[in-house]
Amino acid sequence: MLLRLLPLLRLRVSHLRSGFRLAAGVVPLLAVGSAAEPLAMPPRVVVFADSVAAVDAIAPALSAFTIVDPADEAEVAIVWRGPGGAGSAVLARFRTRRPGLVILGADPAAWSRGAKELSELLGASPGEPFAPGAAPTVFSDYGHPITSGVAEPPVSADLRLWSALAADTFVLQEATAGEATAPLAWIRKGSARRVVHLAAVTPATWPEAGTRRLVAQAVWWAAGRTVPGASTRLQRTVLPDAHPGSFALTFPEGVGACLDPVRGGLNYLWAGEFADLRPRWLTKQGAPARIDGPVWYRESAESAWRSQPGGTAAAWQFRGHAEREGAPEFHYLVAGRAVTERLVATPDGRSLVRRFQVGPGASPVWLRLAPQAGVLIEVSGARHEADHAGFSGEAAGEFTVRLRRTDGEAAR
Amino acid sequence: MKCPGFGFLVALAGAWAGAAVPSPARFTGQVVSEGGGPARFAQVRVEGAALAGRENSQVLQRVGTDGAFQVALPPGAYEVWVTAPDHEEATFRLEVGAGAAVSREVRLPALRRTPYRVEAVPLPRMMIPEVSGVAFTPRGSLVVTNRRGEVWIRFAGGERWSRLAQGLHEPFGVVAADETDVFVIQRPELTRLRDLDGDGVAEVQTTVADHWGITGSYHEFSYGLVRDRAGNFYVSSGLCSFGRGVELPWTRGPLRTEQYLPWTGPGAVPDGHRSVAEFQGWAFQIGPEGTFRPYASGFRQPLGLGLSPDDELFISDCAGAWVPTSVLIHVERGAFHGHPDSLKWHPALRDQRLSAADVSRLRRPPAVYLPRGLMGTSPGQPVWDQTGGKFGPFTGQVFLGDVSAVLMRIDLERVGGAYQGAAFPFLRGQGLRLGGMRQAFGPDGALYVGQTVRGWMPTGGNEGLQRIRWDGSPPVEILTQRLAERGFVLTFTEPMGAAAAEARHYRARRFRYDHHALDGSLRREETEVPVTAARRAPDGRRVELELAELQPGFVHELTVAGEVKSARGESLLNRISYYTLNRLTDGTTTAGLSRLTAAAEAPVGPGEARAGAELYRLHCATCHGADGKGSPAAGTPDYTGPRGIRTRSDAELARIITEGRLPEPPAVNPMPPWGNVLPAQAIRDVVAYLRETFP
Repeated sequence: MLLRLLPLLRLRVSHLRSGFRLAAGVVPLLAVGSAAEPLAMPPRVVVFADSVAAVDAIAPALSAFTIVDPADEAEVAIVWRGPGGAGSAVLARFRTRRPGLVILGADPAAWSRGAKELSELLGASPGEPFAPGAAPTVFSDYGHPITSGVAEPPVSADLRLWSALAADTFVLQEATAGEATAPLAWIRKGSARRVVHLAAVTPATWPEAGTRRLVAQAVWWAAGRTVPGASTRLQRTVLPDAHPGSFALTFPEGVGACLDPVRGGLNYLWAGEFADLRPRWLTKQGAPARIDGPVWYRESAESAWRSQPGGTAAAWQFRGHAEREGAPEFHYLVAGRAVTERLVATPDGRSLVRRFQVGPGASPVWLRLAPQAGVLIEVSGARHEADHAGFSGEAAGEFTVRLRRTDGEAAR
Repeated sequence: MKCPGFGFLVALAGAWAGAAVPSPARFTGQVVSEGGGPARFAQVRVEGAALAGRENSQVLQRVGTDGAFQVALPPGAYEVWVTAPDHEEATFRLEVGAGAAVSREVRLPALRRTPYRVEAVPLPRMMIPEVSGVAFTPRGSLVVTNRRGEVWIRFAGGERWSRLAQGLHEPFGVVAADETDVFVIQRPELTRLRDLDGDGVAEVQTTVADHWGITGSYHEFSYGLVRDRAGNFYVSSGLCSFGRGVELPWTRGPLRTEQYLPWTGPGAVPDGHRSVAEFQGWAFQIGPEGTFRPYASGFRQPLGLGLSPDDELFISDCAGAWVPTSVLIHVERGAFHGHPDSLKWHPALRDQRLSAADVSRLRRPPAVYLPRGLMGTSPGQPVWDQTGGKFGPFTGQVFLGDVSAVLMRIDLERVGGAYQGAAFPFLRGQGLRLGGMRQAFGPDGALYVGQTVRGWMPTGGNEGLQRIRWDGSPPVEILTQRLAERGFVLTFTEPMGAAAAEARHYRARRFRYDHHALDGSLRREETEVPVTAARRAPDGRRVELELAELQPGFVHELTVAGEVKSARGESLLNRISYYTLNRLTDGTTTAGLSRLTAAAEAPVGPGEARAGAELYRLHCATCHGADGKGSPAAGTPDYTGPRGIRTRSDAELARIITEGRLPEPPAVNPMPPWGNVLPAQAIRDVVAYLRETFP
């Protein structure tokens, strides 16, 4: 549930201690996350810009967030073009404490160390204007929660071409104009940083709803929160350690799952919400898709469904999938029984809940589990024996397997 | 030349350093529109024997926004095609010597000659325009798939698009039962998409069939999709490029990596395409309820499937081992079409270990050969003109796209109970984009061509969906070419002038192809076949040609002279055809004694180092290195020094280049044989160059 905050009707720059920073005093620190639902609380943000006008322009789009000052109180810094010389030190200090950084239309001129600083931060080099005068004809969206629901990326005519993207970047959107393609949005992600660059956001695009949505969703993601309204995404592709045609299921809560329709199991779960298929698509000899976080649960390559614990593989058939009430649902035939699986990630991004509905039939069905360090496996509605979840009733029924990450690592 | 085993050819780095490397010819110029300014999205394609061995045997260059191009070419003679959307194609011949600099302004006139207009179909900006499937619903809504896994629908009667589905795995064909019920072939399965609430988004994806094997190979596709009147679907599975991405345990179904017919020739296996997973190289029939039936075998890359108006299955296959040039095949249940590796999965033949001769005897020949070059490189989906005249006078004929911006027209006939026929170029360039792999006739009578090249060649993003529309004016074409007892009967779309009645205005040549394990076949026994008589019917539309001889088993190339024009004085749009003569009218399939003499093979003279230098640069230096020290990335060892070419005779060097060579540990990559790619003279030239450079 989203906890709505006081609306920001009008923001002004009230403090200029550190460059032009959208400052506190306008909104009190009401919105510090509550203990009950910290993940649903909008992130606290601080805004850096190199002009008062820019700050004024950006403010209306941030009404869902709590603007704080000093910057130390913020979870995410939003940087409009750049912090300017005066804001650089504050931003640098912020970055030593907090990982979340959303940069809008970065401009080397607005950074104290110019292009070099930006390249280090964004993992990309700023270049000349992109396809000057040519409107994009094609947009590529690679399906990240940040871009979720954005019907068409906002792009202004003065887009800059960024190149030499570092290996640890993930491109989320691209634009093609004529024969050239430019990245519009990308992220860098690690335990100590969550950096988003929305390169296409310029003063010209700011009035567009798509821009505001992108910025807002980037802030949620940079804060390590679930992007409100983002949906689970399914992509069949070649993933590492999986049969071709496996599903990359990416939950906006921060759980990625590789569902293998050949062996009928979850090959692994990773801490992330994105599968990057560009390696498959952009080259002739496509490499497997990239996943955006460490694997925290892994199953072996054998068939997941058994006739009995430790027994032979059960007859298995993948029947397809569907979307029901916004959640993915998979259909199988296991030992002659119709099985429907629904997968849900918990809001904290630490668990995946697998709910199975089993149709009537005489044959018991057993799902092989993979106990491992750092993962708690809970079974309800079925027998939990010898590392298997077993459903042996002949009538239709259901059972649940919950996989919870307990290794103490950050969920995302 | 790709291989470590060849590394010994490159010796004595010091000598290399001091050697003078002849420069390739530079062909530069600018492509301009007749209307002024550079022609946007222009492409320059150069084809010629000296480019054999390059991917698709051609150089393809996108012209810059300023219209400028620059191509480096080995010495030789070439055909050049320059194309741009909304312009006529420019074609000319080019001969360049080593080091030459040739510049040319290519002026493209606006489209005007052909009555067929090539137009871009606007696609949603959020759709990556790598169109991999095209279909229409019975009500006329347009459904397309793209390689990125999306299915889009444009509802009839408007321009509203909706993304019906996304996240599919490389779909390559689509059949739309209606706006809410769509079938898609994607790499792992045939899938039914259902839009239950009619909002333009499919909520349910049901697996109809997924019985065939798949691996992670980058070059592995499931092609389709057509459905017959009984509701059966037809799908094919290509061989995979063995090596990259084929990993246990991540293969669906059994994995058999050995060749069915092991390569016994010298050196490495010439073509890496193999049937390693179950039913690769097969066509399948999938019943309405998902029943899976292996249908026919022997395919290499069966890229395009089509059904005739009588529900007969035809499949196009792509040149390579056991497919001497691209072909269109009439596929019948149980037939075998030539590539033996698929026999690993044949219930009766998998353990029989047939010989190469057995395989060739077992092979059902294609209905039509598509000679490389003029008739493209990788054919797409065949579709039958059933528009009732909306597309011109070709009702009942087959239209076949190609990856190389070529649209072919095929006139089939049954002779002795089997299909054969003539292939004609229809459009070459003339605004066509690359990658025309999927086609469908729309309710407007236009031919819609879906284009994707999936990274095979540069397109500048200029893929997508085009519509070819007839403007209603009569095209001047050879309408049909049918076999007669002593020659061919041509019918024309228009009454032809008097020149059509003169035999000297027709030139016929025949050639055949080898069915073998090498990567494609050169033309064999190329022979001039005199046209001894040409009789024009009173209506001027029909001409009977008598040839000095007809022999089955040969492709007959027919060229009509430019003097042959319509009675209204208009030139033929296309003046060449290739008739695949499998059977004579009496059913004979075996060639008899011939009174004609095949053209002598070109005499092989001494090697020319200058020519060889360019060939080395084109074909060898990538792996062996310009400095002769090999390449770690290619796994080619450094053979400079004592193991250099000084230890080999010219004959040995020529044999190794011709036949290939297995790798010498620790290298792992074999050197492929080049004897079927480079003419004998070219191989001598390479040897001469090596000898001169590394004495």
